[in-house]
Amino acid sequence: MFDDLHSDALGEGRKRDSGRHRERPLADREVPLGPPSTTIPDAVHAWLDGTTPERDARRGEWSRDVDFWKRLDDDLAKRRHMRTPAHLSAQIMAAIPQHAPQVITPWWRREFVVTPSSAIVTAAALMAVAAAGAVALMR
Amino acid sequence: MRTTEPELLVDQDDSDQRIIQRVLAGDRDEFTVLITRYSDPLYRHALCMTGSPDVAEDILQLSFIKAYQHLAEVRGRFDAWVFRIVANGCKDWLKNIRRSHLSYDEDDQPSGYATPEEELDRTELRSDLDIALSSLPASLREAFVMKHVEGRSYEEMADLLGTTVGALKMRVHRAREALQALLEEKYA
Repeated sequence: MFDDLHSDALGEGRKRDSGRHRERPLADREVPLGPPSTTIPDAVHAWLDGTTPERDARRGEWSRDVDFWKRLDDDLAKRRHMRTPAHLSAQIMAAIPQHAPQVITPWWRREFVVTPSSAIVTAAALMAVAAAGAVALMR
Repeated sequence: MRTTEPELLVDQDDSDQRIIQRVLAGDRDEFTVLITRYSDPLYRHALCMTGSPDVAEDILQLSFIKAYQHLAEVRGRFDAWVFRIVANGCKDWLKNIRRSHLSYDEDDQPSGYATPEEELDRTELRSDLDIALSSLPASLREAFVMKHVEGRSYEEMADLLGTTVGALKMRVHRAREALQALLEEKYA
């Protein structure tokens, strides 16, 4: 992903990041740039992963990071409770085919019927293969 | 940070299989049970990946139609199988669009905030988070959404995405750091 971030909607910090990445033309870069990033302490990652308590993550200057993520989590919590629009289930059912889904059976599981003609053809083919094999062996 | 228990973790394999057998036998309406059972987490995934309720609905509808048509091919858990269809649908959609500013239609979502000032503040954060999420590479966004919105464990994410726990932790960490860099000036 390249750094073609929008510069109009977020804070000044983001604008500064975008400006910094524009210093070199895109074609000069050896590898594509990801989005701008900051470093989050391992303790905060661990707290976000639910493996350490909040008090461990709040040590030193990391309290600011914890506050940031708690604020963000308020929004994420709302997303966790979003539900499918009520009309969608009926809409999907109206769109799926009226007939039952096709059951595709692999050829080795399929039932096959032996008719007299198919038995004669198969026997003739086997005899031809056997004759050809015998001729090849006798040479 | 609190996360919700993912709904897909519920062990419903047996009953899913029974429903699938009934649908395959011709009871088409039984498919509604599967839609009702799994549509919410799948919709949340599609919505957070695309940022658009309309697109999320389209992806969900197409995914369930595809799931119905190929229902005889389900091996193992139906919920994991249908999740992969939706996730691939989201990735295909993301490949086909230029990243653009997409935000939720605020009228679609109920408001739970007390005052207009609070509401404005929260709405602004949601919009900014949508923009920040849309600037992430699809793989980072997917990992972040699965972890922080869907509340999945790294093990379940690895199972669903066919990758390692270590790789997913790295993606989630990178996504967090990118989001914090994008949003902290305004919201820290």
